[in-house]
Amino acid sequence: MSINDSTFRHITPAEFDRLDHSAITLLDLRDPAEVAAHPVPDAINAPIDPLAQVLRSVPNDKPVVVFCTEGWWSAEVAEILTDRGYDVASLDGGYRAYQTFLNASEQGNRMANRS
Amino acid sequence: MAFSDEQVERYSRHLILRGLGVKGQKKLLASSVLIIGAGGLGSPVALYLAAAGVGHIGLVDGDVVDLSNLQRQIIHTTERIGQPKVDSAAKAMRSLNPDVTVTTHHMLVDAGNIAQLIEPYDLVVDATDNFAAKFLINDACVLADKPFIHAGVVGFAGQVMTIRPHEGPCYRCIFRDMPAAGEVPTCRQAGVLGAVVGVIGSLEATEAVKLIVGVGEPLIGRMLTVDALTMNIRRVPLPAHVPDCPVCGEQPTITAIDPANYIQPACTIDSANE
Repeated sequence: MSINDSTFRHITPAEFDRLDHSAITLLDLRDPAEVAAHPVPDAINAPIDPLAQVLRSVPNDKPVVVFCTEGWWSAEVAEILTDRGYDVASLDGGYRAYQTFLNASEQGNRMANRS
Repeated sequence: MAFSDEQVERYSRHLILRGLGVKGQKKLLASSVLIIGAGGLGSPVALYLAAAGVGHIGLVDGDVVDLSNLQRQIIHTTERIGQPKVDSAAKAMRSLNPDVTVTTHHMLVDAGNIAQLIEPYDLVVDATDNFAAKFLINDACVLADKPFIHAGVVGFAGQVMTIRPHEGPCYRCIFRDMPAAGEVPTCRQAGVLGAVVGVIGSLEATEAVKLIVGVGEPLIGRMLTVDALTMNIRRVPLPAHVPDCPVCGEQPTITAIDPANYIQPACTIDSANE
């Protein structure tokens, strides 16, 4: 039994942006306050308490994409789910990286529209 | 291995701890630690390692619970006075964390049994209260290349260090021979503050978790000394290598566990009951 059995996928903010929410389960690990401030449509919120309870309710018939604020906690939860047989991807850099991506593409759009 | 729902909940504060996480918790659950001594130091070590989910914990102690223990041996209870300490401790550990397998050894550690006792474990914790046992544990662990954590406490002061044989100094590198009986007072002679025992034992448990998980800097080559009266807490640097150490040096004279090496010289106190 190897401690390092589990491998799960990593996705970038750009890939996160293009996800088809109907084909996956989105798992949002952030605190409810953060979720309220910056919601992600269709995501199930799974804060640390009661994480185990919420994880139990995650369907395993479609891929799971998990994200947190910075990207390290989602990697931990991805490992837990992978051990349980889920097909999982974790958002690298977390919602923070996604926010940066959104800001950059917004700027890019603005500049494109100007020219 | 997949965590159960209960494990995700029970260890959630470990899983979310950067530096520990899922991999660290898996290491803890797969590890085995032998705690020699189920008294003052053993109490916090046993409780915290059980709480942390160390998968297999062994306990060695020949003693039974006594009323005078309860001032500091917080794993035991008034109802369990008279019971073997290892059984009393195991009861508390299993009720705190049923995940943990506890193996009890109701015996005094000695030159004849120590090698077999330590063999199946990844790590040994010295939670004893006498010098003969400390030197015995040191020598046996060095000879078996077994990492262990040393501690001692009396009065208002204590010390902790971690030994990974040949990676840093061992206990005998620093304290060459046992002091003569009476030279250094025991807890029975000088007394000890319960909470100070708790501090030192908790530091041992912390070092054990760090070693198992592989995080932070272990007290290898450093002795942590605590003077609770002044709250002076120091990390005393030790020589990295002591070439003439009798057990881990370049020409060792201790190459086997000889009972004659663990009799405290000029013994006027009956240390068999410590």
